[in-house]
Amino acid sequence: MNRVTLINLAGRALYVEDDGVEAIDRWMEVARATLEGDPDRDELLTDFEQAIADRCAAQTASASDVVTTPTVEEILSALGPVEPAGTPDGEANEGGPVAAAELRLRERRLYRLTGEGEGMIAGVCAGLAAYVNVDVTVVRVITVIAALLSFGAVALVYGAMALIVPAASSPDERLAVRGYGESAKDVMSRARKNAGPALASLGSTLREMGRWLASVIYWVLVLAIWVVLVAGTIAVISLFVDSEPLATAFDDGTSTWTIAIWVSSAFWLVAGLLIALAAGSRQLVAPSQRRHLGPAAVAFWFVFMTAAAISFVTIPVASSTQARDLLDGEGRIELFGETWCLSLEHGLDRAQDTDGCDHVFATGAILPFDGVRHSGSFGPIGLTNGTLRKAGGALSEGAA
Amino acid sequence: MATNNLFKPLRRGLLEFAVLTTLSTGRHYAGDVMGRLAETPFATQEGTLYPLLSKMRRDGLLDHEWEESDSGPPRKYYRVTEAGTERLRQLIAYWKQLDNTLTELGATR
Repeated sequence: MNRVTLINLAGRALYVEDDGVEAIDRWMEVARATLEGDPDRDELLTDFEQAIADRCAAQTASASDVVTTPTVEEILSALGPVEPAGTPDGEANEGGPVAAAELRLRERRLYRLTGEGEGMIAGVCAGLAAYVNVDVTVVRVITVIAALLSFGAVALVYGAMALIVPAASSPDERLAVRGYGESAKDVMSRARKNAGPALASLGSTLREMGRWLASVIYWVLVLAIWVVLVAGTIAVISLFVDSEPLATAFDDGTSTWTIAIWVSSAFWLVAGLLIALAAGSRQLVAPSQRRHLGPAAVAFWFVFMTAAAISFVTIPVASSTQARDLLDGEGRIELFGETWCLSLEHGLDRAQDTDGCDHVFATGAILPFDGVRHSGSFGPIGLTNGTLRKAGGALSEGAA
Repeated sequence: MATNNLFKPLRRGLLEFAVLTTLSTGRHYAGDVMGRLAETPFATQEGTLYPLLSKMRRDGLLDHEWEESDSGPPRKYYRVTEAGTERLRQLIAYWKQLDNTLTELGATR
């Protein structure tokens, strides 16, 4: 079975078999490496993308036809090897243009990538990222976090690697990091490797595991950042929970925590998506991870909706259950010299005092429920470990 | 096939000449240039032609402008600039000079 992906190539939507997509990616990457230093590189890459798209479109009868892998390979070999124009003769002979036949995978070699748009400091992260085929930002974030957690030990390792690992100095070496291209030396070493295929496959298994691990770490990090932002916002909101404005704003009985969770989760979910969209998802999300964006957003949404729903249902019930334990046989409770009775209306536990003034049991507090704001003089009454406590402010009836 | 490979460096060196000549007949987009060269010994591929066109544009020999096309995205149309025309003139003169020199050396046999 061949899987098919819908790709956008220079503004043209094409259905291409997955192996074909990978071949195009690889070709473009080789082109990018070969054109290193060309001032018009980005424009040329766009032109090549368009040439590929044009040829793909010419090969299919309608836009919904699938471009097969053999077709892609045919097209790519028709485009020919990318040859940088105006290369001095000496250089051209040494490194040579990367021929289509040299796209074969070869044994990867670790180099530091110090070119423009590659490395930030010494190119160690960029080299490692290319070596394991993971987005460089992920490697950088992991490195920074690891450096902090290890109290700088990782930074020392970075420094050591910057000294030991050689910097890639030719297009060929740039390709070698990614495992593309083939030199005579590689053919020899591959021939030797074939004597011990177990070792070779162990290497690729390790790389596969590394990639999988990086993917997991990536999403754990994304989740962690989101959780930290939400928790931080809740913490900030909770600073104001006992203060006057919020206490009165939420006196309809909804748990302030519920609101805090809803507001901050929704805010950071939307803000995160907007930031990702604004950045074109290019820098923030590795190409290989982009297709997980949609499902991840849905999963986040589902998780925090569930959490909010659970907190909404359980917290007030728990507190009013505590209050119910204090009731006498007739459902009455003596509080601060008044008798209150408990009734259930609209799913909310309501307490009614003897004057007929409605109150509602909310999270660990009994708040007035008579449509009049009891600001200032009426603080929430806390229920802690089954004991009624006045949380603050003098308890006296307000306007009611 | 042997001659094909044998003279490859020669053709490669003359590709810029060939492109200039092709474009001197009017405005063409890259695919057009490739099509015109396809049946000649200068047959080339995108991988070679595109970087060459962009370098020639940087050198001021060519100029390009975007133009909407009936099918698909807008295309880049190239034309020869004045500097390009001048370069072509020099190349033609030099080519004749080379030809004459070789003839004088006895290459007619």
